Amino acid sequence: MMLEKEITVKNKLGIHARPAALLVKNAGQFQSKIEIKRDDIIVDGKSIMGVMMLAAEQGATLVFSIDGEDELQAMDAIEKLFEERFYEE
Amino acid sequence: MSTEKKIDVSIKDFFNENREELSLELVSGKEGMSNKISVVEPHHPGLAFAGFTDYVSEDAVFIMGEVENSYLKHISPARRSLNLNRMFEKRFPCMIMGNDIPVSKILKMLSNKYSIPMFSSKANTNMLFHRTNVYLSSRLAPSITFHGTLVDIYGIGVLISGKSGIGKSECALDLIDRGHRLVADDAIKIFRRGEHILMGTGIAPDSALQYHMEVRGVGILDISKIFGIRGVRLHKRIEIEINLIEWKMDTDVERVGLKEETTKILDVEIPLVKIPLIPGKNVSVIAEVVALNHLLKISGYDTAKVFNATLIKLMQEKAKKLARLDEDVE
Repeated sequence: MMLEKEITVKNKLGIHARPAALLVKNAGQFQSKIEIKRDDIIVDGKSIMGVMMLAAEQGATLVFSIDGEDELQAMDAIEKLFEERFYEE
Repeated sequence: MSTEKKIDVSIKDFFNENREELSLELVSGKEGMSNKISVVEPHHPGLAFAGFTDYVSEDAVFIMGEVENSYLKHISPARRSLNLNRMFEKRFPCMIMGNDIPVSKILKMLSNKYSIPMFSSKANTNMLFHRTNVYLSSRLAPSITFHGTLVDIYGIGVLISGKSGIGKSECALDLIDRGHRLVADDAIKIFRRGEHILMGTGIAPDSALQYHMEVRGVGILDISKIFGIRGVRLHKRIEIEINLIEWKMDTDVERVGLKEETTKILDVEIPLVKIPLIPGKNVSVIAEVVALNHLLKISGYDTAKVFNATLIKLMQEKAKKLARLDEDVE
């Protein structure tokens, strides 16, 4: 089974270098394959360049597709990061 | 890393190594030739001559000239004797009389009594101060020996550290093959010049033993013979440390390069880059790029910062556009 969820960027500055680093660091802790889709661009959630290239500003919607044994935990952890605005504000 | 030890220079060495340049002559107090100097800055004994000995530097070279000598002549014999005795009781290592001024009887007598060598010099006191300072700063520079490999990559001194057997020497070998230069392998002597400069060299520089390297499975190699003179260099300022680490799932490494880690060697802070090793990864190319990126940074261009600023600006413009579209609904 694969999990898919839409997540909105809440932090003011968007996914710049620091949040991107935090995101890939968290994603990297899971075995599951993590992909992030924005419009028609899909990037690897464990690659920092890919994540930053999305240039996801505040209000942007990203679709996370997570596939693997620990997909539930991975989705929870990622959602929490967005919810907490990457601990920036 | 070994600990910093207190360093000193004996008067005998100081005398032998500066005799010609400073035209030094031993006048008296030769019993004290084994006294030690451990302070770089020479001391002006002016205030001590006047009787104030609270801040007399007991480990520094004392240098006196015309002014001090005239002052001694100017005060009463009783006071002169009292003040000088007080000063000599501090047992400083040695004293130099500049400007070729003859050393007075009382100074000779005290110098013999307290075994404090008294030298005379033809040089003026400014020159004496300057030369003594320069000589002692290099002789008394704090130093340590460091386990690692030092390579000059594009003119940047890169110190490669990491556990024994992780591949420091192999990485250096690859770098030399690519045209860079080895300073020392395995044991590096690092000393501090001034407050901010770290210099590295081999533990036996100038000897036939430098530029040798052990490569596991091969044995000992003479880099200067294999690669010739272009593959080695005697010493190099150390500007950055690359720490090779074993890669594990939870190894926390820098991904963007915004946060610059640093390390302290002899109280000098230099950037530290940690590189996790994965089979098949070409560490020497990474080391080259680290050196080049450091060059770029010191020339004023920080890629990570510029990239992030561009990204944030781009996102803010997008967000503004979106907000305008939202308000545009009729």
